[in-house]
Amino acid sequence: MILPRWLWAPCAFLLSVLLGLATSSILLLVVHQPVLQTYNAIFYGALGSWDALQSSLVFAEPIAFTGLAAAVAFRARVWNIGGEGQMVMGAFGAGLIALNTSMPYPFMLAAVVVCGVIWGAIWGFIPAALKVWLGVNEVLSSLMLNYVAIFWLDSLLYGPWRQPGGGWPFSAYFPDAARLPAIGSELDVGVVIAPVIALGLGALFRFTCWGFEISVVGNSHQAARYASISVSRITIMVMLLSGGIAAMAGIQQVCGSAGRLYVLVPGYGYLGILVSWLAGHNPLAVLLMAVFYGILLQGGTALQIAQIDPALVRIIQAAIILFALAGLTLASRYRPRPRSSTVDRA
Amino acid sequence: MDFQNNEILLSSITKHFGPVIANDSIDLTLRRGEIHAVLGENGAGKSTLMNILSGVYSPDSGDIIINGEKVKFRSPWDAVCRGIGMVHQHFQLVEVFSVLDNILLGTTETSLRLNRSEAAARIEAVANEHRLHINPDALIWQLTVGQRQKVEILKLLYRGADLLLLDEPTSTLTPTEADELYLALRRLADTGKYVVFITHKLREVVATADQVTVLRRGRVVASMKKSDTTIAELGTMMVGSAIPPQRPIVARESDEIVLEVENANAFAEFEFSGLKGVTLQVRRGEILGIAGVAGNGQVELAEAIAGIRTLQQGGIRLNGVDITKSNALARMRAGLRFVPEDRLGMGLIPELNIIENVMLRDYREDSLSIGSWLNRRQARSRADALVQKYDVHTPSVDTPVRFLSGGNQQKILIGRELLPRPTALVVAQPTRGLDIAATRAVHDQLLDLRGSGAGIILISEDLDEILQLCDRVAVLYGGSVRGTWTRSEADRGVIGAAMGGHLMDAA
Amino acid sequence: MNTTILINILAGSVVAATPLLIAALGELVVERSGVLNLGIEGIMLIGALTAVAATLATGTVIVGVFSAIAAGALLGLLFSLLTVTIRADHVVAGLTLVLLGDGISSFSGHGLVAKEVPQSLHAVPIPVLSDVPFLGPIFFDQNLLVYFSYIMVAAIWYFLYRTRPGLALRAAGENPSAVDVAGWNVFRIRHLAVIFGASMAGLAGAFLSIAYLNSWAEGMTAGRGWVALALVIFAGWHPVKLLGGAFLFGFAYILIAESQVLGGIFYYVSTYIMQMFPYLMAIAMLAAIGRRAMRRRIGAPAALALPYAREER
Repeated sequence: MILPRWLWAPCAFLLSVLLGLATSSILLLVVHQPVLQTYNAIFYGALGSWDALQSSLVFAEPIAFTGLAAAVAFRARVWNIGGEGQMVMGAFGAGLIALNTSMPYPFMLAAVVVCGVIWGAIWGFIPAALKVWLGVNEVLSSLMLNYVAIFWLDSLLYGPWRQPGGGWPFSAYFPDAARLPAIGSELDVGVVIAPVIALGLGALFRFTCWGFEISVVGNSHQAARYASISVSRITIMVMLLSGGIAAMAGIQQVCGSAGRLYVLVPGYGYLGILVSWLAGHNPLAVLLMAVFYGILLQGGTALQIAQIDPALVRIIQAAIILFALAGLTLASRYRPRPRSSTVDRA
Repeated sequence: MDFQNNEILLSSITKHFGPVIANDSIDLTLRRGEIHAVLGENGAGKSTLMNILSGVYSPDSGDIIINGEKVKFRSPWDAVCRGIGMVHQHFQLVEVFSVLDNILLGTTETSLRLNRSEAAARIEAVANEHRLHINPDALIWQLTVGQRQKVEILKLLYRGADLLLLDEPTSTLTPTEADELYLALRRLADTGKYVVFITHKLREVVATADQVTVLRRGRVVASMKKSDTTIAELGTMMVGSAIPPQRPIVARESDEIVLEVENANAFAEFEFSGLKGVTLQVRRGEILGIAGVAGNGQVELAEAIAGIRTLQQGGIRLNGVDITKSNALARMRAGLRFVPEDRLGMGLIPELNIIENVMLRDYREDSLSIGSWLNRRQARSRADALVQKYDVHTPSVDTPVRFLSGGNQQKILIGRELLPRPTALVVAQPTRGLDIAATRAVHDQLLDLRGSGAGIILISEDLDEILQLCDRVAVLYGGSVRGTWTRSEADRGVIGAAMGGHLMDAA
Repeated sequence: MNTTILINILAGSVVAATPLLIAALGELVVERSGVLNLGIEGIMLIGALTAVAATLATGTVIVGVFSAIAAGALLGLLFSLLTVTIRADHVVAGLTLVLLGDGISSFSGHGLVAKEVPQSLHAVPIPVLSDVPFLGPIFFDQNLLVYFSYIMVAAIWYFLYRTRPGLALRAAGENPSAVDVAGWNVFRIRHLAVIFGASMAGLAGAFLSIAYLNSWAEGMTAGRGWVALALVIFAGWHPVKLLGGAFLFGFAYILIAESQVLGGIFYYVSTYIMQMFPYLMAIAMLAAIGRRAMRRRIGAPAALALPYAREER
C-alpha cells in the first residue's frame, strides 16, 4: 500500500464520508432538491456563526459521553449496547437528588453528579454480572435494560415527578445549586468535562496497569490467563466505568441548559456506539467523531428553514457508517505476509 | 457406492505448503476388507495425506486411483460422493441436536421433507449391521466421547461410505472405548469396507491393523503386513534411526533439585489426556526433556506447572518450597517462567507491539511500573535490549508482533521469559514451525539458560530436538510418564516405542 | 366483567400482537441461522412507509403490502452482504440499519404524514370458526394478515423442524463448521435467512401503517422492533412459543391503551410497568436460560453473531 499504515483509517473514513455524501446527493436528486444548496445549509447551519457552533457542540456533548463509554467497554471486548439506558439512569439519578434534597452549591451539584453516575454504573453492572456469573450474552441483556430504564424514567415523569401543565411531561426545575455551570449562552461545563474524561481515558489506556489489563483482556482471554489477569474482574470494572460515563450524557442533558428532567431524546446511546466504532475506540478520536456528528445534527436542524427534512442528516450519518463498516472491515483483513517461511502442520 | 476393483491406489502423491514438503511421492495401496494403519509422529505427513484422500486438499502431483480410474476431488463433497468418508479428530457434531438429526444433516438425499421415522429405521439397520448401537433420539451433549465417535462413524455409513478414514480415533477415548472401537473397525472391515486410520500409537497398530504404513518426514518409510513386523521395529521406523549431530553439552554441575512435580493429577482439556500421577524432578543446570506425541497431556502438564491450571491432586515444589497453592503470578515471581506452546494465542498478543508483549506478564513488577502507572520508558529499553541480545529482525520495537516472522516471534517470547534469569523454566514446543536458523537460535537460548544453572523442562514432539539438548528424557503418554532415561541411556527405538505407548524391557 | 368488553380486549390483543409476531418470526429464523439483526426497527419503519406510499399511489392495498415486503428484502440483502459476505460486525451493522431506516423513512415520508389511507385491510371472518363462542370472534374474525401470521407460525415451525433445509439452518446457527463439512453452503443459508427475516419485518411495518393505524407518522413503530427482539428471546427461539409470547405482549399493549380510560394508579402502573414488561421478561428468560444453558445447552443459538469464515475450520 502506498500510504503509511497509520493513515489508512483516517483515509478510509474520509472516503466513507465522501461516499455517504454521494449517496445522499443521489437521494436529493431523486426528490428534486438542490444538492449544493442543501450541503451549504448544513454547513452554515452548523458552523456559520458562533451560535451555530455552540449548538453543534450541544449536540456533540451527549454523543461524546456515550461514545467514550462505548470505547471503554469495547476495548475490553465487552459489548455494552446499554449506553442508552445507562444515560437515562444517569438522568434519573441526577433528578433523584436534585428534586428531593436541598443542599448548598457545590455539594448539591457533586451529589447530583455522583448519584447519577452511580445509577449509570449499576445499569452497567447488571449485564456484567449476568455475563460473569450466568454466562448471559451481554448484547441482549444490556439492550433489554435500555427499555426498562426508559420506561422507568417515563413512569416517574408521567407520574409522581410530573409538573402540572399539560403537553410534554417535565419535572420541576432543578434548584440552581444542582445545575451545571454554563459556558456561553447554550453550552455547559460538560463541554469541558468530556475532553477531560477523554484525556483521562487515554491516559488510563496508555499509561496505567489497569489500562494495559483491559487491552490484554480485549485481545485475548487466553493471554490474560497467562498473564494472571482476571477476565471477570476486568469485565465488571469496565462495565461499571462505562455505565458511569454514559450516565454523564444523561446528567449533562438534564443539569445543563434544560435544567429539569424530561423524556430524553432517544438514540444518543446507540449513536455513541457507532461513533466509537468509527473512531476505533480511541478516546480522542471519539471526541472528534462526536463533534463531527454533532455538526451534522445541528446542520440538520438548519435544513428545516430550507424546507428540507432534517432526517436527511440521519441518512448521511448512517451512510457514512455503512461505507466505513464495509471498507474498514475489508481493510482490516489485509495482512502483509510474515517474512520467512512458516511451516504448516503436515 | 461400491468400487468394482478391490483396491484404491495413491500413486506418487506429493504436496507442498510453501517451501515445506508435507507429502513426498507417497505410494499407498488400500485393499477392501483390510484395516490399514498409517503410523507416524507429528509432522510426518499423515494428516495431509488423509486430507488429500478426503478431498480437502488437492495434491500437487500424483494420482488417486479408484475403480481403475484416476479421480480428482475438487472439494470434500466430491470425495463424499465417491464414497469416502472421514471421521475428524475434532468431531463435527451439533451438540443440541439428536443423533438422528446429526446424521440427517449430512445425507445426500434431495427431498425437502424430513422423514425421521424412516431415517431412524435405516439408521437402526445400519447400526445393527455393524453393531454400533446408539439411541437415535439421544442428544449429542448427553453422550460420551466414545458414543459421539460412533455417531460420526454412523454418519459415514448412513451415507453409504465405502472407505472410512479415521484421524487419531482413540486420542479422546478411554481404553475400554478404544477396545470397542477396534472391534467395530474389525467388523466394518469384515463387511467389506476399506478402513484406514492414522495413529501414533504402536499398540493400536499391532492390535487392530492388517497392514501398516509408516510415514516419516513426508515419505513412506515402509509398508508391510502387521505380521511381518514387530513393535520395536515400528517404533524405530517411526522416529528414525539416524542420530542427529549432538550439541556439545557440558556436564551438569549439581544434583540439587530445582523443580519437583509429585503425583500430579489434572483434568484434561477436552480429551482423556488428563495427568495421572505424574512425578518428575529437574536439577540445577539440567534440561529434562518430555517427549511424546501431541495430545498426551503436554498442555496440561505445562499449564499445571506454570500455575495456570489447577491440580486435582499432587504437589509441586520449587527450590524445596511448596508452590502447589500458589497462582501463576506467585510462581513467576518465585522464579518459575513459562513458554506456552500456543505462541500467538497465549504467549504473545499479535496485535500488540513488542514493548507491550515484553510487558505482558511483568507489567506489575517494580521495574516496569510505578504503583499503578506503567513505566513505558523502562519497558521500551527492556524491549530494545531483548531485540538486540537475540538479534530479532524487526523494523522497531513499536511494530505489532504479528508482522514478525515465526522465528522472531519465538525469540521474543522466549527472550522475555529468560530475561529475569529464572530458576526454572517450562517451555513447550519451542521450535514448532520454525526454520533451521531460528531453531538453532532457540536452542542457543535454552542452552545458555541451562549454563546459568536453571532447571528446564523442555516439552517437545520433536524427538531429535530432545535428544540433542536434554540431559534426561521422559516420555509422556496418555497423561502419565512412561519411563525416564539419561542422555547416555537414551535409545531412539525404546523411546519411540514408549511414545507409541509401548513399554519395552531395557535392551 | 362484561364478556363483550373482554372479547374486544382480547381481539384487540391479537391485532396488536400481529406486527410483533410477524417481525419476531422473521428475526427468529435469522437468529437461528446465526445472524443477529438489530435493525428490525429501521426495516419496519421503511416497510410502513413503503406500504402507505404504494397503496396511496396505486389505490390497492395488495401492492402496498408487497412493496413493503420488497423494501424489506432489499434492506435484508444490504445487511446480509455486510454481515455474511464481508463479515462485518453484526451489532454495528444492525444499529446503523436502524439509523438508516429511521432517516430514510422520516425524510421520504415527509409529504405523507397523517394522510389517511382509505383502503385498508378489513376483518374477514372465517366461516365456521368465527362462530365458536368466545374464541371465534377473538382469533377468527381478523384481517388477512393476522391469518397469515397464524399460517406462518405453523409454516416456520414445519420448516425448521420437519424439513432438511430447516435442519441445516438450525445447525448453521449452532455449528456452522459442521454444516459446511456436511456439504451445505452456510453463506447461502444465512443470506436467505436474513432476507426472509427482513422481508417479514417490512411486512410487519406494513401491517402497522395499513391495517392498524391507517396512516404514516414519523417513528410510528414506537419501539416495536425492539419488542420483537425481546419476544424472540422470551420465546426461547421457538416459533410456537412466539405465538403465545406475542399474544401476551399484544395484551400488554392493549392494557396500556385501555388503562388510560381507567386512569389513576392503575393507569400509572399499567402504562409504564406494562411497557417494561416485555423487556423484563426477556431479561428473566436470559438469566434462566443462562444458568441452564451452562448445563443443558438450551437457549440462544451457539454461533449467534459470530461471522463464519471457512478457513477457520
